[in-house]
Amino acid sequence: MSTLSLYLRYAVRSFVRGRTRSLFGAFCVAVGVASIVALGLAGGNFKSAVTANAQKQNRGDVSIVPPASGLTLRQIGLIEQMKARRQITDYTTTMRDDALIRDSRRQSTSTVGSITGVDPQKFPFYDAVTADAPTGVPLTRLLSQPGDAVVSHSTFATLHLRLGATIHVDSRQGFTHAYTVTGIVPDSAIGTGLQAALFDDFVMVDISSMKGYFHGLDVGATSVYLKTSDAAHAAGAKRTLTHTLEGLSTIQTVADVQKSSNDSAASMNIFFRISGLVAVIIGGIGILNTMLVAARRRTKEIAVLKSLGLKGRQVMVVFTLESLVLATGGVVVGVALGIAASLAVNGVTESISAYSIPWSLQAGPIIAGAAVGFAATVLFGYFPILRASQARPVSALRSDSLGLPRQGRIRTGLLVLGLAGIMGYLAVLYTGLVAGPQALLYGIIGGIGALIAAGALTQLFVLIVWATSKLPSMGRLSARMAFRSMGTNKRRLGSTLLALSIGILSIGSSTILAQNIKDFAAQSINNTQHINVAIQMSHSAAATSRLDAELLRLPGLEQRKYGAIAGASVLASVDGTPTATLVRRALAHHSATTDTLQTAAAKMRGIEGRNLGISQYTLTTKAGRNLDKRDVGTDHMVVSADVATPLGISVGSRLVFSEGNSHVPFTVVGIGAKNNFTIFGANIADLHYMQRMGLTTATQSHATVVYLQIKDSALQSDITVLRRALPHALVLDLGKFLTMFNGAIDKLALFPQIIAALSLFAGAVIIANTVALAMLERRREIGVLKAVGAKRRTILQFLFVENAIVGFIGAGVGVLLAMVVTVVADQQLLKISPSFSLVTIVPLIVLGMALSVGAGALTALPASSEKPMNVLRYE
Amino acid sequence: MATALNIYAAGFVPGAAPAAIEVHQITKEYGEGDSRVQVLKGVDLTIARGEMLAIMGPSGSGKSTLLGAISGLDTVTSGQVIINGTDITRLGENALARVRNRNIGFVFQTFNLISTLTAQENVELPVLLDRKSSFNPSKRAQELLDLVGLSHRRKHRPGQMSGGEQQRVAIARALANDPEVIFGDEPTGNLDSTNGEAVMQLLTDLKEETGKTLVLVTHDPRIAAQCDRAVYMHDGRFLDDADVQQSMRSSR
Repeated sequence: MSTLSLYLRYAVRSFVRGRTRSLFGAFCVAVGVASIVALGLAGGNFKSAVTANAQKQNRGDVSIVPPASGLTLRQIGLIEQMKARRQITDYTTTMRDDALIRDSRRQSTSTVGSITGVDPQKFPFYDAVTADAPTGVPLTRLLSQPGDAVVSHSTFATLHLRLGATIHVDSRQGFTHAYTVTGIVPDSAIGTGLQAALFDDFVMVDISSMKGYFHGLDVGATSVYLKTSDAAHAAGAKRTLTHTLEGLSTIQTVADVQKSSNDSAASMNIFFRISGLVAVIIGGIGILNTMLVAARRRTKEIAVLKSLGLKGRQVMVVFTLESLVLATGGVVVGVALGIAASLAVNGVTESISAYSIPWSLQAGPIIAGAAVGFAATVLFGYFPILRASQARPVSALRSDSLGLPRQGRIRTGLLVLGLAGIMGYLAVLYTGLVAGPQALLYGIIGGIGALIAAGALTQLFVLIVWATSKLPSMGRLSARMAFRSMGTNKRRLGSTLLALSIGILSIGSSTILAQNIKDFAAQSINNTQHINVAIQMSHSAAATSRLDAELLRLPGLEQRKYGAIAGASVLASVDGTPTATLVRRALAHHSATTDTLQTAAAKMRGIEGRNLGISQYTLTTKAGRNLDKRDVGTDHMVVSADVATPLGISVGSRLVFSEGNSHVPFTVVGIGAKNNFTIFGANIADLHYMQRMGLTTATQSHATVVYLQIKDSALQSDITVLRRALPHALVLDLGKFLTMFNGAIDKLALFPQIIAALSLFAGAVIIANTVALAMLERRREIGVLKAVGAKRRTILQFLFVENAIVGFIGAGVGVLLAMVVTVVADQQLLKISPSFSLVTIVPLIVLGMALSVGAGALTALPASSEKPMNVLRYE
Repeated sequence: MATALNIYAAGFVPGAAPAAIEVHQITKEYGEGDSRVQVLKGVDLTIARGEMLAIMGPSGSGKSTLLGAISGLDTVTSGQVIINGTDITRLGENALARVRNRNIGFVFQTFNLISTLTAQENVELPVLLDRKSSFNPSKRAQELLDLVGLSHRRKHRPGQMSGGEQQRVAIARALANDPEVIFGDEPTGNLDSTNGEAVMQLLTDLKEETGKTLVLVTHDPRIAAQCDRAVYMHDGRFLDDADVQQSMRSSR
């Protein structure tokens, strides 16, 4: 007992004596623990938020969300019949359309969003929509007059509105209506899903004022919510509807929402836990580093202890106790930091998901964080401690003994592999990625695999550092000093760089991926259209001639292309087989998912006619070719891959589009790539052919479309002129599309970036730690430099150059890895072509360099102001 | 050999000061309050140009502290240290760095070479740090390594050399900017007798041939005997001449 108390006293003393070093070590533990606690708490809170109010979320006992083309009037009739049969007690419909929302005072201020019509007396069946301004006023009062509308916070801010202002809302069909703004409602008014939160520009009106937006189209509703007497009736209603609505609608009962909320909470939890583990691994590298330096600096002390008769095993006990003291400090700080960080994560989750998330403290994540903190410290610290225990007593006799012996490489190697396996298994258990007996196997393979990958990467860094240290210094002393010192410390630098690059990798991949998606969208618009404004207006000779007259007067106009849309044309058959049969078949054979069929259904509607004789249009084609001059007058069509793939359409297929009583045949010559950006129609055909077949007659469902290219300098003023002159036309500033899209992507990327920032923070701590440790060892060198006349500034300059190079290498490799991840994600998941821009890459590298230089400066400043005599005599 | 060394380099103006170093009433204290220790208790010392002085005394007498104070490696609590007509205790950090770079050279007991640099690069260092130096760094280092007899070890790192060799590199480095004064803190303390003698021979030759001022802290009376003069410290003060004579005789 007394021996143990001696060991413990010794361990605590050593920890206290280690000061800065101990502090940094404890901080490494703290970062890992903080991440686990923060993400665990956030996950728990998220789960209780999403699983709590399933009924409110569903807005009824059953919700029906059909594909974008909506439910037909006949289908609404079927639901009405269910009500008559008392299968359901009530229902309410909503209508939603994409819209351009404009301030009626300033024609140039507009935003792309949506308009949703609801029945304020019924919607929603559960929960109530109340305004944020004027506070607490219910929807029934806000929408009491036919021309009333409520808007989202974002729309209110973007258009600089005030309550009582008049807005114009243009639909895709070219219909425009004026509304009076009576209130601002939260984003959750139109739904709690991700989409509702991302595309947060919307107007909500009474459904009775929406009829004009769908004139000539067979659309009865875009969503329907049902009320039933109990859960059994809800399930029964779902069964009936699944059968009658032919399976393309998403029909959810409260129980379904509950289940999917649980599922999404579970997968969110896995994401949180994996992110936490990344931080733990980075923290672990820091612990490894700290313990290695602690052991190496104390070789002599260990040797003296051993010469006094202490056994290797006892040395291990002493050092393990010391690492536990370090872990205790780290866990305490980490739990506190984690609780603080979870509040931040909560806020971010709330802002992007439109869920309101109550925050509460739970014991589970804190216990898990503490356990992981202790386990990681002991496991990561094991290797350095083992080496410390192998110090030879003879080192005590030598004044310049440095380094620890490397005995029993094979035994050590096996031990490290074993530890990696154990860590892998613990990681699998913690994240819950794999369950059952396979967990052990996957865990061990994963752990050892990760170790090998980390080892290989570290070796790569060692190699890069070595190669860098051989670079010519171009006669610059600071470069030479930096290269030399890097060359000497390449092993330790290797593990520092590993930590830095993992941090940059995690934050970089989400940043680069987001930028990539944005670039792709911008490129699609630029490449395919060479236009920046699109006008859609009702199809009439008078309107067209007015437009022509206006265009002649536009100062900035550079190019225009005419086309027409047959908005109500729907794909009726493929090679003689009715579309409905193909959809049923695809569902029955599971050859396409409901999701892809829903997308297909949305794009089956509408054909865009283009004036092929005059202008060339290029779309990315997956198969076949683009339309060009030789297609003038033919029935050739480029059909969207979203429609073609699930329905089995290929080049040469014969399609029939029907509109009312007319049926128009087309021949497929090309399949447009999945993510092609088209504004008004996914399926493209020749304008002349469409005119001949009667698809461009002057009805509400046909529209004229004009694409313009306007000089950037005149863009805003020209758009204002056009909107004034053509009050019933939809004038789209295509840049606005990009702005809206980019805004959504930014919001989506924010969340993983916040999480990744945690691991980057961990990386920064490790760098600070390593640099600080290096600085402690280099105080003597700094003293010598000062003794031969180096100024403080000169010394700081040396260290600055060195740390900048280190930061550059770590961040550079991190960014490269992030680019690899992005390429894989682009090609495998998003099916877009990768592109990289310096706008994202350079800041990431600068961030890495700043972290490294900052951490260096933090520790170098005090060291550089030390008087040389102190360092040289007393160190 | 002597022709390679230019005593008038690095801004040294002859006749500007009668003595190489003048020390007036310097004190040095460590700690505060009850734990305050006065290591130097008002020391006066004048070292003539070209003189070779030994500072002797038992451990803890304050001789190394004195050396640190008069060489600008450390600050003093009060008093003046005048090197070459300039009171270095009044200099700012950068000006002091310039003095250390141009006007003095330092040889340490534990050599203190930069372990990552080669012998050649270690010697070049002071020249490179002086932007206005008239020396060519590489040529200067070669001359000095020639002088200390180590031209064949130019490309070696400190870890690849013996203690004696390392100390000779350190002497070459101390001479790099051709300073007026060389300070040595037990320069032979970490060397065996053969290497120690070789290093002392090098230092005395240097003094004879170039007229440099040398100030050495040492325990070793044989080294003190090779100097022009020796001062003895005890408890932060110099012993007076009579005590010194007494002490010298007894040590022989």
